[in-house]
Amino acid sequence: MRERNYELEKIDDHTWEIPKTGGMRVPGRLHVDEDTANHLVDEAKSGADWNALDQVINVASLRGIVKASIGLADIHPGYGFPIGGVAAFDRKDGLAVAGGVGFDINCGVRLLSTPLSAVELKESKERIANTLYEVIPAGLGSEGKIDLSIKEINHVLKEGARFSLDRGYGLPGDLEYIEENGSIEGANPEDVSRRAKQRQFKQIGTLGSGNHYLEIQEVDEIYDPGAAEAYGLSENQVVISIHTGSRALGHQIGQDYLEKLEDASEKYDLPIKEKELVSAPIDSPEGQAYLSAMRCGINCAFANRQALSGLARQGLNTAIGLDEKEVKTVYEVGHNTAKFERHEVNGREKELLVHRKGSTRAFGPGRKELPSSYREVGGPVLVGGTMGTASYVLRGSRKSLEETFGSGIHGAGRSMSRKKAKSKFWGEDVEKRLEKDGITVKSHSYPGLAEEAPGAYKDVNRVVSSVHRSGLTPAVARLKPLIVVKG
Amino acid sequence: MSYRYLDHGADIGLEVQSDTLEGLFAEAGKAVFSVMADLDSIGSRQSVEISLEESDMEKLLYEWLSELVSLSNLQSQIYGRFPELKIEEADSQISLKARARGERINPRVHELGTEVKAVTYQGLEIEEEDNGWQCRFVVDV
Repeated sequence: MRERNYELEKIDDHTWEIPKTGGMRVPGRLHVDEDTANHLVDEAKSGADWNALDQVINVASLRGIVKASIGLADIHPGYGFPIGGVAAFDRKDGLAVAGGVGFDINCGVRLLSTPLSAVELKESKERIANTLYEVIPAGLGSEGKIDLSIKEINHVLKEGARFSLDRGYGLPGDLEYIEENGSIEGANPEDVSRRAKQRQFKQIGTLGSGNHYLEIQEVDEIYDPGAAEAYGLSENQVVISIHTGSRALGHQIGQDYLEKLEDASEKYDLPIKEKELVSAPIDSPEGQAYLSAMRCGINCAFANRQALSGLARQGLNTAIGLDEKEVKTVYEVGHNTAKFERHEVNGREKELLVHRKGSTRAFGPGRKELPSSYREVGGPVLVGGTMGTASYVLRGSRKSLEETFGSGIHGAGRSMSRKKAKSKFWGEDVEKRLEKDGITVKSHSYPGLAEEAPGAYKDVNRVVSSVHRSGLTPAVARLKPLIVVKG
Repeated sequence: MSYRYLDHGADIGLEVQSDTLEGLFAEAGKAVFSVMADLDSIGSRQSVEISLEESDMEKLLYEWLSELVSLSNLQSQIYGRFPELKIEEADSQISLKARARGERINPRVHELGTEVKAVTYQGLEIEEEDNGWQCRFVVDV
């Protein structure tokens, strides 16, 4: 691997190309600023055996990949694919790649708006924080309030958000504002192992741990008044963000199919560049089975976030009597998915399997997949920050459609290992410091809080500023946390 | 026998050492659960049996740790002891039999850490050294 050419060609201030060499079928395209580009090259040249540049090159070598192997502004090393990586494959001779989705299938963000202003929330903040901490199952070993059988899990995997809605979680109006209306087709529960289903019996409506959260936030700055109005966002408004995924079921599908796709890679003579970069031709039985199982994972995550949205509404109703109908879904979008989509390649529209690993769908104006009220401005791109800084709402653009198959960033990315963070920060201190800044944190684990300390992450403001200036995903609004519930 | 945490970009890297191969697998199991809880707070009232067969040692380690993560989640238990762990090689197959002892997760009693989503193949390796065995791997959290 060391003989690779790591010289990048500058296209413009925000775009760098890794020229096609060796076994690469397409070039690599990095949508990053100069500092990040230099950092990626330095890391690869230093001989680090795990680096994002090599992963972009590995992905560029996969059969049927179209146009470019893409890295976005929050790119960092992942498993097979880089995180912040996008790759689209030709429907006919391309591949389904498990590493292009990852273990937390359809991990994503739901954003809900409320009619409250931050000032109105202030006096009941502690009560709301305590109530949400009570009603939102989070952390290791927590169990959801919906206890399911295998038969019911099969419904979850086919119906997605609708399943939770039918169980009384959330409002019918939510569905229009979820990708795929909260339920993706082509999900056959028979392609999911019994073990995966059993692991999910008590996990619908749970947040998990790690970087997952539920936050009550304030819209503290608007950058694009037109788009903000279309999304129903205004300055000082209180909103709710929920970041979680498909929980144990998704993890088990990822694990199960790693082995199946390793066998398939051998069967179809597909070179394995990295152990987690295994794949199968899209149209092979193995590829079809993976895509079906992965879609079951997508629906599971939809059901999970729908249940949590319902619980958050109930929590606010219990704490301050807020009518559940007044809490509206702004949007829900995943950042670990593979989906069939139509995009223009060399002037011709093609059907592609677009893998987004740690990347949010960012469709520009006009796409029919968007809710009709967002079609004019482009779809919301929900970017999670750290609990001490901010999250952002960006929007898809014509440029993102043209250059990244309609994809944008998903978060800040870590700058410090969990080990270092734990030795540098104490959970209790993190909690106190945030409280001083007006952020109430309710966490089930102090060590977990230390690992997630804001100082352990890259500056999300800088990452967002880069994609805003490049015009790929312009900023619409910034969301500052007021209450954070973590696992 | 010992394990230590490695600096790692986004997740958690672990390095484990032991005099014997069996000890290495047991210690690797402990290392994974140390991410999830303070093992001193975990009792050993409950147990599960695990039996695996693989064609190579690294794959066996991956399967062993993945099975532990999966069972822990399924049973809502955390395991801190792995007595009776046996690894045998025959006819190019390696088999593992073990009992994992632990107890049901109770957030009120146990000091809990971070949930492990999956064990990964990233940088996973086992090496035999002059004075014993060593392995490295990364868990996705």
